[in-house]
Amino acid sequence: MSGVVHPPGEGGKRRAPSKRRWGSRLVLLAPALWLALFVLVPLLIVVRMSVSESVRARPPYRPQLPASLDPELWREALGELTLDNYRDLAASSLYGEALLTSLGLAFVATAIILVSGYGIALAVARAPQNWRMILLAAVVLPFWTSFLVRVYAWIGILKSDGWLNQAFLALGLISAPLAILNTNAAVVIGLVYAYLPFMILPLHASLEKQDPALLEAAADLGASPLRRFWTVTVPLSLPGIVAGSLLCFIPMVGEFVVPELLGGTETLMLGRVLWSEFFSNANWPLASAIAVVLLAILILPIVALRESERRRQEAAS
Amino acid sequence: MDSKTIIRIQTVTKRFGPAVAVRNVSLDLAEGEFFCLLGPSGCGKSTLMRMIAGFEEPDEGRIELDGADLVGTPPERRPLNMMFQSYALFPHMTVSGNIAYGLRRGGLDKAEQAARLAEMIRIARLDGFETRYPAQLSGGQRQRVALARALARRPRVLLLDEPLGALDRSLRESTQAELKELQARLGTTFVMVTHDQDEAMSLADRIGIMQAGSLIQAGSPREVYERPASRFVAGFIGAANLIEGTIIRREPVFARIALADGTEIEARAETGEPGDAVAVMVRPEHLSLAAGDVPGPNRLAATVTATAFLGDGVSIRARLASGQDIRVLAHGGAPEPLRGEAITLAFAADAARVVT
Amino acid sequence: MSAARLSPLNVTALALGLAFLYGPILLVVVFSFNASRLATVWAGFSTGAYRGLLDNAALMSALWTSLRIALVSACVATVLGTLAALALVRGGRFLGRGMFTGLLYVPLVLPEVVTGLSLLLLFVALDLGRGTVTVAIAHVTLAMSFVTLVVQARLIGFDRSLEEAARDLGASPLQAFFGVTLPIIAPAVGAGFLLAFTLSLDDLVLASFASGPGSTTLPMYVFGQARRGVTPEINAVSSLLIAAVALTLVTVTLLMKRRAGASLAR
Repeated sequence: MSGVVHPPGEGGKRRAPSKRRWGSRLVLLAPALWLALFVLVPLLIVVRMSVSESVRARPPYRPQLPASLDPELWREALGELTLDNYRDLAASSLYGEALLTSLGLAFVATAIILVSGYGIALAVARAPQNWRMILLAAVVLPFWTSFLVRVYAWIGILKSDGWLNQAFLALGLISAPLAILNTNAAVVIGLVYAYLPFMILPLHASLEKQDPALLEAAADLGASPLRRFWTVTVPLSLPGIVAGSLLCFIPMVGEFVVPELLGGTETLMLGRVLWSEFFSNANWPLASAIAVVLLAILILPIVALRESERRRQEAAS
Repeated sequence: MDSKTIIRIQTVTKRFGPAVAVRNVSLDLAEGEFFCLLGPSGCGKSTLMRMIAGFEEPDEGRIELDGADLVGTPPERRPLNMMFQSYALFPHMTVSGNIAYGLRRGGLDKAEQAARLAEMIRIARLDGFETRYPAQLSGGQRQRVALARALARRPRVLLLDEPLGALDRSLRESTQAELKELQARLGTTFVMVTHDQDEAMSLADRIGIMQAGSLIQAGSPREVYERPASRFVAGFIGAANLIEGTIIRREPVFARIALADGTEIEARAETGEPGDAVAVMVRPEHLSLAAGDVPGPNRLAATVTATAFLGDGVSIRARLASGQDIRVLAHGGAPEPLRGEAITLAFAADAARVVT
Repeated sequence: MSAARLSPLNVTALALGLAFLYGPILLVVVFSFNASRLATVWAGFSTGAYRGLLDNAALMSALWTSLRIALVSACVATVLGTLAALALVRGGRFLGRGMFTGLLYVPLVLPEVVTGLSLLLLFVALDLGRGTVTVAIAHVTLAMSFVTLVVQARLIGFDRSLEEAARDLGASPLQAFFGVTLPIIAPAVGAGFLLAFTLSLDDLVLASFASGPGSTTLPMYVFGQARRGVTPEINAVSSLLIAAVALTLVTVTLLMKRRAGASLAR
């Protein structure tokens, strides 16, 4: 601030902007406190719980973190931290299997959703302008109805005396009822059904933006319909494909309701195992360790999803 | 200037992080004048206007209205109004709702508000559209709603941010005339930001030209056209040929300049000493074709590279011996040279200016 | 230009997709009127299942619990989520912004079992008695992130000069916010509220972790029954839930369309 006429008594000069800044601080305060207390702190507690001794099924869990800042007490408490829960997870084939099943079923379901969702999103995006919003709404509407109800509906369809078997028997396609309910196949069907809208929305967003003249240009340059699809439509919709796939895959890995209602006893998925360690075995430290493992697996896809969304937001603004 | 100063901007500087948006600008605006802030995008003209309106606060310097410092006063308590580039019409309010928005906070009683609203509707020729929403209006109508809304409070100064930028060309010209006429009738001080020099020339009483945050020159359209303060102004206002050279002799009014190829020319000069590298500005319409064999002062040899017939004249592009391109606007009747032809250009020393 | 050319392949994909999406829901609704106790074998039309619902005290209490939690949590989540969106879009750079957005993002992507477990451990650590309050807290935590997403999208598209115009015309910052900004982002705030309400009404996992005795929510009740198999009662409850959602959405769409027809539509 060099050599500028600065009349004294202009204290009010900087007040306006700083007051504005205080306003936005206040706006930030309530949600920030909420997030700190109900998101950050709970996650820290989970991590801490996962390294506690699981001998006792009920609190208080050892080690107790000291209330004072006495370094001696802290060293002692930290020395009591244990990786036993993780060792248990690694030792038992049950958990490894659950991990593989979770990832495998989520992957298969995501692949099916991608293919079928792409067909639907493409059809919506190519529909006449005035139909597009209606069709999109029609596709998304089931998303608003209860998740639980949508999964539940498949019990009635898939069970041995269910509607699917009744229909197949009536049509003479099969002679004896198929056992679909309580299998991995049923879980995949349920996952596909429940998560399909998550794929269609981002796909539609990236497909709708495409200029139809691009396809015409490609055709003009001699590309066949299939070539046009693979060289123009698909590459341009890649952000939608990535976002949609991650939006489906991430929650599926930790899914509880679908395997619980549609899966058999052998359908072990991490969400279900965590649930039973917590509710049935009351082993909170072990359940916490599973939660940490789940987090560790999902952290990469989550970061990737966040990155893709940030890029889309930047492109939009 | 005789008329009273209404806004005084004193050594104002505004930074955004490390970038300096407005650099040490001082400017007085006279009551009742139509002032245009002109410059390329990013030159700081909008930031300067937003500081007058109160949406930004200067880091240094002060802005006075009628002698009282405005700095620190929030926009709602400044007796001036702004017409936004995007118009910023409230989409959830009708035409009347938009225009009356500021009136409801103006300390007027109901009857006065209604009267003022009716007056604004009439001035803006929006009769019959009072209950329409902005989305139901044409571009020209929206522009008039924005103008009426900003004028409804009878501001001391009306700030206009590229008010005609969103209109198409034909509508813009007729709207320019309306705007000028309205300003003259109301007598309100108008400060307009624009990047369109034709618009500034045709509307403004005075033009302020900004470049990279600094105010380079302020003056009447004629002043800035005929006596540009810099090469930048010369090139920005109208078409200009800038012929590079060095001053070899300085007289009270004129200077003698030597070009790279040895040609010597004379031009009006207000600055510059012998030895200075300068440019001589000659407007295309001040160049004429001279018979090659007639010697005289201020003659330039050139080769024609392109010509275009414009109806009322011929536009010629030619290349000087130095390789510099030059534009000539020859008036009707002059013989049209051929491409590749060697020509001699002549100009009066009075019509040429030394700029630095 | 954008003359649509739906190929037969496109039409097939759409038809199959819609049939797949709506078929199961329709079956549930149809069979809620089944006279037979065997829920999947049609035995004639009956509204018996619906009449039984009102007398089902456990169900009614679960429904009431769910509605109360949904209303309260949706209100709180809408306020917090809108504030968070304002802070993100308007706050510029502030200390801990990365942390703030990261934490907002966590409930969106974290598996529900992990969120549920973590909240439960917090409630235990705080010695907070589990019940409707803790369930509501869990639902606010989940839903506020969704509200933020919805409102943020609208705020980003919001022309700030509208607010400046209001200030220029004599409105204080608060007047400008409530008179101009809020009405314009209202559809997004409303959508956020509905989303929060639906999420709460629908959530099973968080509620199971956060609830205590006497705070069984409707999804918890339905889940408990569904585990034992399909019954006309659950079909009936499901149908009512579907009907409620459909009715709300239609009403909101019509309301917004009427407003949009009058104001927005650039």
